[in-house]
Amino acid sequence: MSANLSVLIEKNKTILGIALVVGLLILPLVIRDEYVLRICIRVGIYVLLAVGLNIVAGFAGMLSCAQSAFFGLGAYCSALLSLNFGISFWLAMPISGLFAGVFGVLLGLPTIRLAHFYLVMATIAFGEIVGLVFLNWESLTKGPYGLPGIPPPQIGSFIYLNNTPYYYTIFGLAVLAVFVSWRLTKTQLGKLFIAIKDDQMATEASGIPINRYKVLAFTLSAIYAGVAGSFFAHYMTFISPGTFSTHESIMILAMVVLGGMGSIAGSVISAAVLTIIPEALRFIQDYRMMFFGGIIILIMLVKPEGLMGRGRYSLKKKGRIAFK
Amino acid sequence: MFVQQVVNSLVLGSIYTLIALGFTLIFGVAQLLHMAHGGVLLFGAYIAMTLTMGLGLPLVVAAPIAIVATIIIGLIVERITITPLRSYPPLAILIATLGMCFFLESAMENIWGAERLAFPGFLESPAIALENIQVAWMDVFIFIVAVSLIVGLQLLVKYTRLGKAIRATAEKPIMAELMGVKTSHVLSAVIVIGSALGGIGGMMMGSYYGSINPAMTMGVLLKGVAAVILGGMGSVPGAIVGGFFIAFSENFAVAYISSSFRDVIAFSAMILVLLIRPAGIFGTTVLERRG
Repeated sequence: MSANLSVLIEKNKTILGIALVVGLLILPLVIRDEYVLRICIRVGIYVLLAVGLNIVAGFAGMLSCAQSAFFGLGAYCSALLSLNFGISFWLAMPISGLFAGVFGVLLGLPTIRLAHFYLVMATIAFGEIVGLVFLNWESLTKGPYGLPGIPPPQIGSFIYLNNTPYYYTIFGLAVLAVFVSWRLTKTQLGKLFIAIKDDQMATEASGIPINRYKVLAFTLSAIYAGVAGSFFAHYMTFISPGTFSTHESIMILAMVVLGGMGSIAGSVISAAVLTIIPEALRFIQDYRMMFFGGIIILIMLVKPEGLMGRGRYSLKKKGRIAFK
Repeated sequence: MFVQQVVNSLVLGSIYTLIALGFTLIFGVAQLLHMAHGGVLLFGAYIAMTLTMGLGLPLVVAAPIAIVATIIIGLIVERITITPLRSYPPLAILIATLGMCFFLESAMENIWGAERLAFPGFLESPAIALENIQVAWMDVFIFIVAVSLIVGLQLLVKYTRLGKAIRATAEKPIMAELMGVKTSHVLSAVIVIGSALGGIGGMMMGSYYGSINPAMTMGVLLKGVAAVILGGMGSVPGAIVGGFFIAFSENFAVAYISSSFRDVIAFSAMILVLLIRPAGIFGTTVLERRG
């Protein structure tokens, strides 16, 4: 049944996409509830994060558990630029994205040669170290006390006060992110990523310097996360190290896996679903991690390719006689 | 001060080694990317805590019960997240066990709360005091038990039929199967032994630190994996080297640099090893080192 659903969505992609975009555009005008808008903004942020991670994990097949670290790097960079140098959000955001991207290169360069499991551990370790730096470099980040008073974005004399302008901004960013990812799949670069994931040895044997493309995948996903982090900092106006944990990274990875590794629509849908459900079912709040964990297990047992995966970009069943 | 740190590190090292042994068996020998093992052993520690603190059972009685419980939990986790996914690429087990790790940590949080809970110590006083070093009898006991278990495991792996079956399966499962080794039984055996060792290690860790909390799940997983990566997957001496290295670096970093650096050392060392020699010091099993 779900296979038909994903095919249905796939076939009517364009119309559904347009309907969705239009619907989301008029949403704040129709629904005045600030709480709903807040959730939508959260969804937008996670869409950015998941779609970004999808590039390195879904397209290129490298399970990075560092997305939250890049998120934090972008957030702190943007916050510190604004607080210490008075740089406006609109300038700080791209800088933060690039800042995170640099770290993407730094993480990518040494780790791309590692196989799946080692890559996971290395990225987790990276994330933990970054988190520890946030926590302990108190002269810069004020450590566990966090950074309050981050200025909201401003256009001319219009200051972002309630949720609506934030909503449109994150919406724009999310649309941009999805569009860039989508274009990526059409380009040779995107196809290279997928080729690397499908059969690395064959790709390498074809004479393609896969290493630099793998690093590029890391960099791109880091930039997405950095931009999201910058937005997050100026939206919440307060950030602290606890937000950017390994747990968050794994939850974002769960979104990508659940949606179907390599499927942009899948990442968007599961980011939305996995953000809204804990909110809609209030009693789940305490069991949030249990819920995520259970979902991951369920998906892997029932449909390892994820919701939107149709076996093209995802985990394929291989005959293994290892432990019968 | 220095000697005290050495003594502390010897005790902590034996604890970490026990934990690392469970990891090296499961990751290295059974070639399973079992990210939930840390959660399983911490769950066992929680059960031990409930039996002693909650029900007032003496540790002598509670410990075996907790070990059995840990084994059962380990087997349940295996049946849910590992065995069904064996025909899929290892990635599937990696992700599924990650989910299980989350699930277990949250379960512990919901059952016992997120705060630190006191873990029973034993044989606390009087401590032996030599010159300016303090050693609790508990620490001595932990050390002796741990070393015995380590030696016992090495003997088991080297000289018993089960040990040979385990090693054969690790090297070439198909061949082992052809030679009459029931690999599914070997898998269960590895889980049982690994969980038991982990459970014991977890309880000792609880005693040593005096408290446990659910957030330790990730930390235990990372340290166990770090120790095994350092020492080499599937190698008992490797687990020993890795476990002691982590313990020593932890204690000395806290003592001489600052407590906030405690975990950084372990993680950095792990990354370094991954970059320079992913097989680890004694590593022989190739867990798909290079992608």
